[in-house]
Amino acid sequence: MNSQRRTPHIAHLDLDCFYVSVERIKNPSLRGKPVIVGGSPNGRGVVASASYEARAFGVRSAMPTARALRLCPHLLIARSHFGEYEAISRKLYVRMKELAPVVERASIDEMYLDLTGCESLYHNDLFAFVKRLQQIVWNEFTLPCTISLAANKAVAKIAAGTVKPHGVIYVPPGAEQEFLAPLPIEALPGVGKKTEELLKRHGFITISDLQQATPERLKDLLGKHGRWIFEVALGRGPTHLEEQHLRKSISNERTFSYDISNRSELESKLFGLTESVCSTLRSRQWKARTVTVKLRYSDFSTYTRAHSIPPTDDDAIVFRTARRLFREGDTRALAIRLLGVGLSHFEYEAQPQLSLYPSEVKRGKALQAVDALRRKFGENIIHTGGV
Amino acid sequence: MKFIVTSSELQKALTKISGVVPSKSTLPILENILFDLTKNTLKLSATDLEVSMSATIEVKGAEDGKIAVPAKRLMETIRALPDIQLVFHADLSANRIKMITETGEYVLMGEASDEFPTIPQFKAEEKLSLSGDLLRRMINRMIFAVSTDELRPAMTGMLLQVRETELRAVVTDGHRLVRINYTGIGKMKLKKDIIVPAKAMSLVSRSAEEGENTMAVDTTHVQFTFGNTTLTSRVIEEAYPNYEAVIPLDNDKKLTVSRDLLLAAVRRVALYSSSTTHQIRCTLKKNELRVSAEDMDFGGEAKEKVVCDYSAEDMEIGFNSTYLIDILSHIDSDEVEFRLSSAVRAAIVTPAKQKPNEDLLMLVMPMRLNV
Repeated sequence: MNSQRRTPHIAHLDLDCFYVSVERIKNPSLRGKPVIVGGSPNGRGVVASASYEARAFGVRSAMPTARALRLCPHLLIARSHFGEYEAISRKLYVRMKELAPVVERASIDEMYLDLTGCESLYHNDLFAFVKRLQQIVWNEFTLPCTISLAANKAVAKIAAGTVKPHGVIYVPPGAEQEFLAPLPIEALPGVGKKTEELLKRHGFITISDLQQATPERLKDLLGKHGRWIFEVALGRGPTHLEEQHLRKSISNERTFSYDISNRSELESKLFGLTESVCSTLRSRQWKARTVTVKLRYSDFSTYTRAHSIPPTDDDAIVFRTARRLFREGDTRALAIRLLGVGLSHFEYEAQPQLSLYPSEVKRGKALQAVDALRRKFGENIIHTGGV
Repeated sequence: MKFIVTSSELQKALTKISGVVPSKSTLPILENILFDLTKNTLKLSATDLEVSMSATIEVKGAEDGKIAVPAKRLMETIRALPDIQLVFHADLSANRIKMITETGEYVLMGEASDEFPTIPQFKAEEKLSLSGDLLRRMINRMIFAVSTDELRPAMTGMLLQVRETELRAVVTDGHRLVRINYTGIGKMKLKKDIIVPAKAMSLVSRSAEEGENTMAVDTTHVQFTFGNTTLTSRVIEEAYPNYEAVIPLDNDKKLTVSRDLLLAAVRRVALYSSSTTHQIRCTLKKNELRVSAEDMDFGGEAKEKVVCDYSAEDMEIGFNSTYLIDILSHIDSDEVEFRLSSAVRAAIVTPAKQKPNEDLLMLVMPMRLNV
């Protein structure tokens, strides 16, 4: 068979209220009740994941826990265990890799499976297979999930959104436009609050309104982004999956339990974030070329700035860059509620260019030793001194 | 302020110093050129706060004065004019500049001269006389290997070491190093090590004139003078890496090869190297150098044989092809000599025949081959 003629089949697997589901495995008494995983309502904790029972009361992710509790006074709050969620998500990914040739882990609770060409392997009935897949995820991981099957990632993602939780759906090739037409525009990936408002102001309410527009009209309204929206509205979208190792960025951010305005305290938090992203970077034997810093003021305005440097995996170099970006951004007389550090533009270090100056070699070895200590004894066993 | 000048004269002077003007700056005043007229002498100055340049020309002065003129619009106007006389007239109270030709009138808004940063006053301890040829040659040979890593400021400049009878220049970016020694340039009392920013050195190479140019150094600045043009640059006050320690003395495997043949072969083979590592592999056997590359990501491979003079034991060494191409294209000798020791130690590259009074040495670190 000519591979170019094959109809792509992309499945989207979305774990239903993933964090809550994991907590329910450990504590089955949480089943069937309104539960959230998130921070304490006394401080400024937010909801990280809400069960569907809680969502019925209007509780949503990213909402302050205190508010969620007001909406639903008998809400149960479970503390988060991100390490466990990550480990389980990774195990699920490994299992999925046994069943599909290409799997992309889009986030901790979402995966795409490329089943193109697997028809004969699964009795020429991929829809039956994805139903079975949902069963496998439940039987082997006790995790409820929603799975969709479509000809591309965008449609698969939208379709999954329509049958959550615990749904299965198939959008056959060719039926995309018809399927999408009645859905509201905010169902499209890439339509956030601002785009939604803008489009609605111009009379675009459902996807069928977008289907009838010209690409030029959408381009005028939304710029380049309009083109993407138009394509997706017509049911076209990417079919290429990016496997885990092609991850484009590594980042870590933290919302503080109270707003911080003391610069040295902020810089020490920034350093902690830098250490964590650099450690992940080294574990992949990568070097990064771009450092990004994100900060959010107490009034929720957000500042992001990036800078490119020669490829590095050294905490000290990344930190010096991050600190400079941070200082350039921290110009307002406001306290800061969130800090983040990101790395991108990776280079693989399998064939390293040797350095003329031996100090760099020694430094590399020292950092490897630090990573080994952290793996064995935990993140906080050792930190680099001031730079 | 008022004077008369021919457009070509003015353009010549502006071209000399305009390289300093930053294209975008957080300080908008730096995007101007300062005009300072005293009698019949017009002094033009530009600065980016690190490097400053000024040039003087003779004009027909009518009224002394000083004003900062927007560089881009000025340059564009002068460049678009034929070679004609123009009257330059500035109303200093309104910062309004008018340039009048026989047929046209061009008005642009300037800035008050006191907004313009003061160009550092320079007290030279000692002057060193250098020919324009030498300066240009030296800088063009090595500027490619200057580091752009702002986190290691010393390496973003060129180290100049002035010794009694010798001038030594060094650049390195951590993977490569170029060193040139010049002797026979006369006796100097000056004994000094300075690190000059790469931008200043490129401008020196552009501005150096035939015949004698001078270089003077004080504690924080270096100044070059070429005829009626001067360039003043802050020096980088950092410790330069101990470069002498990394130049190997015991590299005993000698390879002599035609520069053109090797450069052409490396250029072709490099097209097949991985686009992320640019790695090529050099396999050395008696009188045979094989250059090869393969692209693991997209498939494709290439190999070429190059005749050479080599009699040491067989070896294999990997290089970043970009580095090798840079090095080979900056050596102007028919044959080049490589002195190697092992696949993980620095290779020394020199012209097989040095130019008189010049000693050029380049170093490149290999890439580890995953055999």
